[in-house]
Order: sequence, then structure tokens, then C-alpha cells
Amino acid sequence: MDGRLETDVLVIGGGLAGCFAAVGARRSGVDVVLVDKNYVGRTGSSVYASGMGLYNPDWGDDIEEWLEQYSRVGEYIVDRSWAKILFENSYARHRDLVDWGFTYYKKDGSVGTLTPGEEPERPLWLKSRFRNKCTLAMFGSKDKMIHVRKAVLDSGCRILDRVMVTDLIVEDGRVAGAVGFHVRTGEFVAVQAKATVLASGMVSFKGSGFGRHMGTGDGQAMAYRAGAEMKSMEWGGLMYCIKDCDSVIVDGPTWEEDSSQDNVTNALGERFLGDEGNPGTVTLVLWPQEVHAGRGPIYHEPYGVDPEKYREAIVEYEKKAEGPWITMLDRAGLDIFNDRLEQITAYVGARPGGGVKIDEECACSLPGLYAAGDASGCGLGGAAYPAGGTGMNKAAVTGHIAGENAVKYAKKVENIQIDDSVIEKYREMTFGPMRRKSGFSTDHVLKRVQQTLFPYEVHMVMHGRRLEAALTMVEFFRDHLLPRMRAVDLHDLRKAHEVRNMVQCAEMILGASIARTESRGTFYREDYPERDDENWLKWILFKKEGLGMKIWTQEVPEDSHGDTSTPYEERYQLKYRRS
Amino acid sequence: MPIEKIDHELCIGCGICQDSCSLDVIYMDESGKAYARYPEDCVACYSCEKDCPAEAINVSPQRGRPVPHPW
Ligand SMILES: Cc1cc2nc3c(=O)[nH]c(=O)nc-3n(C[C@H](O)[C@H](O)[C@H](O)COP(=O)(O)OP(=O)(O)OC[C@H]3O[C@@H](n4cnc5c(N)ncnc54)[C@H](O)[C@@H]3O)c2cc1C
Repeated sequence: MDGRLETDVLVIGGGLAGCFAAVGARRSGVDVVLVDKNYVGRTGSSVYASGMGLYNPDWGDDIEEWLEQYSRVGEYIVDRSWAKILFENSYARHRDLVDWGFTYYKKDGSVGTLTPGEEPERPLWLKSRFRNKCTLAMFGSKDKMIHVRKAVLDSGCRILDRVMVTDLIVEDGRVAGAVGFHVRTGEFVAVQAKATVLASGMVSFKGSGFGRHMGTGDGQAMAYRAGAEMKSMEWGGLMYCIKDCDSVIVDGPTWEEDSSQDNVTNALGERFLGDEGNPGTVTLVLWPQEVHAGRGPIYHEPYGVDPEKYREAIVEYEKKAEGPWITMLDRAGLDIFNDRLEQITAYVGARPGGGVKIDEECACSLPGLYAAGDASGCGLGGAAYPAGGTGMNKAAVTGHIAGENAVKYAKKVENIQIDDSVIEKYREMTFGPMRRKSGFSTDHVLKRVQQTLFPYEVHMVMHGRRLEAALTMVEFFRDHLLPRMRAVDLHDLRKAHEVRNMVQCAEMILGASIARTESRGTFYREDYPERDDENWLKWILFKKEGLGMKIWTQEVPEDSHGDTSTPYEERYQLKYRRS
Repeated sequence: MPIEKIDHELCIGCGICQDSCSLDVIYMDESGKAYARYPEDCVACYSCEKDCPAEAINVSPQRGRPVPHPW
């Protein structure tokens, strides 16, 4: 049998979370293998992220204030104990990154590493957009993840690049590793492991925007198929980009203290977000509602800013962040500083913070399985992205915790003896789409999925009946298209598995969204257009049961509810319906 | 197509662009130079161009496969 390996800890996905897990596990001296469908160090959303949220009491950060802000922005379904774990560990993980060679943008604009106690630059745009007290470390250098790759290799971990993992191995009710194939050589790979860490990133559907296209929910789908419990996977991740240059997300760069959101207008030229207290990312939910009310489309329109200064700010931002901002706009012949440019949705996916359910040790509900980063679900994201820098922070902190606890588990158990015939079955499943002589192309199925999910009426201005209709379509794809999908080569085989996982994730997200019969944060249903504190200070959990989903809820602990005696209008600053 | 061109004269065959591509679009040809084998899968993320030490790549903002719009 080709490519059969044994290890103590297998890590799936080599973004920030997976790399932290691998290094964290190697610190205990056990054998660790890290696999990624791409090249570790140049892949994952992690390559594109630039600012890490950083809590440090030595800088005067007040944990109560931070927790209160997370709860408020996440509309009271943020898990406070997880937020606390995040804050309390962020500085240590940030020091790891400094030790590995990450460079910073400092207050004076120079690039360098940070000396202990020195406060990193806090970009102005966060101030106005979130009105928060978070410190954000802005990392420089497009090669930053290459430093992380080096740290992984230096730790003694083996890296298998370009191995697409297709399924978890489940034996005796325990996760015992994973199978996949090398995308270039076609070699079948089966890694048997005492413990497995899923760090395969987010669910998205290869939509507009950039930096998310490799995140096709593979880990979430694999874990779900294996029977793991999932958490907080309703719709709710929102972001916008320029329609005629759709890899450009103008959601970050800003001019002086103004937020880029101040530059948003509707078809009538109205700045519909208004001047009232901006409660943060949650205002993103208002854009599709403007369209729904007949005042679309939505434009990016510089407002009260000096075009020259605005340009300077974006050029500066492009240097720091891994985004194709100004270069691409110039190439597309679009003048974002003087013209009105139409905007559309970038990235369609589950709310941030949702995924494979983890406990505080990053253990999933299946023995032997751990999860970290965007793939993991812990109620941290709440109902709206709670603060800039949360993604990197969560990836680093949960990655490290998952690595440490996977080792503890691995030390307790023996590798299960897996029969060759079992591995053979997995091989059959992995190469199945390539054996078909004819069938639907992967692109055909991908297009059907996108056409079903991307209308704003399905994921932004939702309604139970439309969600049900979309779910019916997705179930049809699952039952009738997936079994007849054909891959023509190895590249296509990778896509076939991605599409299969996307269909699976679409089913999960739609199912969970149907269950949440209220609106909250960036999750808006026109059939339940208000927050329902009485019934919905809860998280939605589910798992696979037969062909369907078994869905249940978990109460958000009371200490995360905020002051429920506050009048509704004060508690929830953002009003959904503005007619 | 999004990857307008990978200049064979300028390409030094280092393979960084191939590693930078998270969508398995870029391969190395027999002469050891990079080429876009699956351009329709390119989403114009621009990483290959940004990471290329020889400035041999030019990415256009046009995606290989248009995606449906929300409204
Ligand atoms: C454009 C952009 C900008 C962002 N900016 C910020 C920011 O400024 N601050 C912030 O905090 N967060 C930011 N984020 C979010 C942040 O990038 C993520 O939350 C974080 O990087 C997630 O890390 P991860 O390791 O969980 O996932 P990833 O970095 O996405 O890594 C997942 C890895 O798993 C691999 N993989 C997936 N499926 C498989 C499979 N089947 N087999 C093998 N390997 C697989 C992928 O190739 C990938 O390398 C940004 C995201 C984007 C897209």
C-alpha cells in the first residue's frame, strides 16, 4: 500500500491554527505530521490576514471592558469564558510569532520586531469602526507565514504539502487519522494517528473577494460525516467588494478617522448607515436590506474625503495588508477615489466562530479529534464579528491549545490496528469521482451550488420558506449530482472533493439557519425580524443522524447575557427595519 | 483570463508562484518555467504576482469563472 504513515499527532491544514498546533504538539516530543492541500507557508486565509488582536494587562487593557465589548458587538451570544481564554493567551502566542520572525508596523511607520512592553501601532480605522479598546498588532511582510513554516520544520514536525485530505478514519468510535491523496502525484495517503487536529480553515463557496477560496469547509464536512457535533454554523459572515473588480474588498482601508463604511451609499445617493453610533460590523447587515427595500444597488462613494489623502491611506494600507487593493483597481481602470463604484457581496459563508464543536481543551465530541482556528466552533464569534483581529487570535490560541491536548490524548492511547481492507475502502471513496467514465463536471455542480446560495434572499435577507427551498435544492444536489460527479484529472479530483464538502456545508448552514427563528447581529430573517432574548440566547448545535441533521440548542451561560433589563432599543443599537 | 501572462523570459523557475497558488492553478513546464495550467480556477488573489521575485507575472482583475451576484 502506497503512502501509509503512522504518527502520534496528525494536523490537517497548515494555516496559523495548524502550525501552532503542530509546534505546540512537538514541544512534548511526540511525532507530528502536518498535511495541507496547498503549500504550507503560502496558503490559508492566514496569509492574507494582517492584524492580530492583542490583549495585554501591562498596557492597561481591562479584561472586563474587552469582554463587555465582545458581548455587546456579538449581541450576547459570545461565550465569555472562551473570549477570556482568547485574551489571556493572545500575548504569549504573539510573542511566539515575534520569536519566529514576524515583523511589525510600528507607531513611527517603520517595520521591525517589537521589544517587550512596547505598544504596537493601533490603526485608526478600528477606532471608528468598532469604537473599541482593542490593541491590534499589524504584521508586515508578505512572507510572514514562511517564518511560521520554518518554525514548524525547526520543531521537527514533518510537513506533507499538496495532500488533499478527503476523509477522517473512524474506527471503534474513535478518530484514528485521515486519508487523502497527493494533488500532483496522485499517490494515496493514509495517515494513522493517535490524535488528529482539524485546522482546515473556513467554509466558503469560492465566491467573490480573495483569501478565502481555499476554505471550502473540508474539515467541517469531514467531521460532520464522521459524526462530530457542530456549533454555531448559521449564516452571518458578511463582507463586500467592488463589483467590477471583485477581488477588492474595500472593507478595511480608510481615510484618517473615518470608517470605510462612511463611504457607502444607496441608489438614491443616500448615506443610509447614518451618523448614529456605529455599533460595529453589525451595520453590514443593512446593505442588503437597502436593496430589499428597492433602494439598491449599493455604491462605494467617497464622502467628504480628500481623494489624494484617501489614495495615500489606501496605498499605505496595501503595503501592510495582503490585499490587492489599489493595484487591481488601477488595472481595472476604476477610480475609487472619485467615482461611485457598485459593491456586491464578497464571501458567502458561515458566521465567524462556527464550525466543529470544541470544548475548552479544543476537543471535539469524537474521541481522538481536536479542532482549531476557523474550522472550530466555540461560540466565540457570537452573532457578529466581535472585533478586528479575532480570526488570527483565535487561530493562534486554539491551535496551541489543540496541539497540547492532542498530545495528552495521544500519550494515553495506542494506535488502532486498521485492516488493509478498511483502508482500501477509503481509497475507493477518495478516487471514486475519477473512476467514472462520464457524469456531471465539477464546475457544473459548483455553479449550481453558487446559484442556489448566492442570492441575497438566501443568506442575507432570509425567510424560512426561502431557506427551506434552498435546502431542498442542496439535498437534491447531494442525492443526485454528487454521486454522478466526475473528475477528469487530479486537479479536478481535488475540486470534486471540495464541491462535495461545500454541498455538505451548505446543508448544515441552511439547516442551522432555518432553526434560528429570530434575527441577531448580522443574521437577519424578515419572517422573524427582531432579536428574541426570551428564546434565543442560545447556540445551535447539530450532528448527522441518518441522512438528516439532528438539531438542538445550548443555553448561552448567564454571565454572557449582558444586562437583560436594559430596554431593547438601548441594548440593540442597530435597528433592522428602517422602512 | 486572470493570469494574463507569466513571462518566460523573466521567469527564473524558482517555483514560488506555484507554491503561492492556493487553487492549484500554476504548474512548472518541462523547461522548468511556470505556466497557468488551470486559469479558469484563478480568482485573481494576486499572490503569485506579489510573491514573484522576478516580476514575471501579471494578474488581471478579471476572474476565470464569474460568480453569480447577490442582487
Ligand atoms: C482577506 C482576509 C483578511 C483577513 N484579515 C484578518 C485580519 O487582519 N485579522 C484577523 O485576525 N483575521 C483576519 N482574517 C481572518 C483570518 O485570516 C483567519 O481567521 C485565520 O487566518 C484562520 O486561520 P486557520 O489556520 O484556521 O485557517 P487557514 O489559514 O485558512 O488555514 C487552513 C489551511 O487548511 C488547508 N486545508 C483546507 N482543507 C484542506 C484539506 N481538505 N486537506 C488538507 N489541507 C486543507 C488550507 O489549504 C489552508 O492552508 C482575514 C481573512 C481574509 C480572507
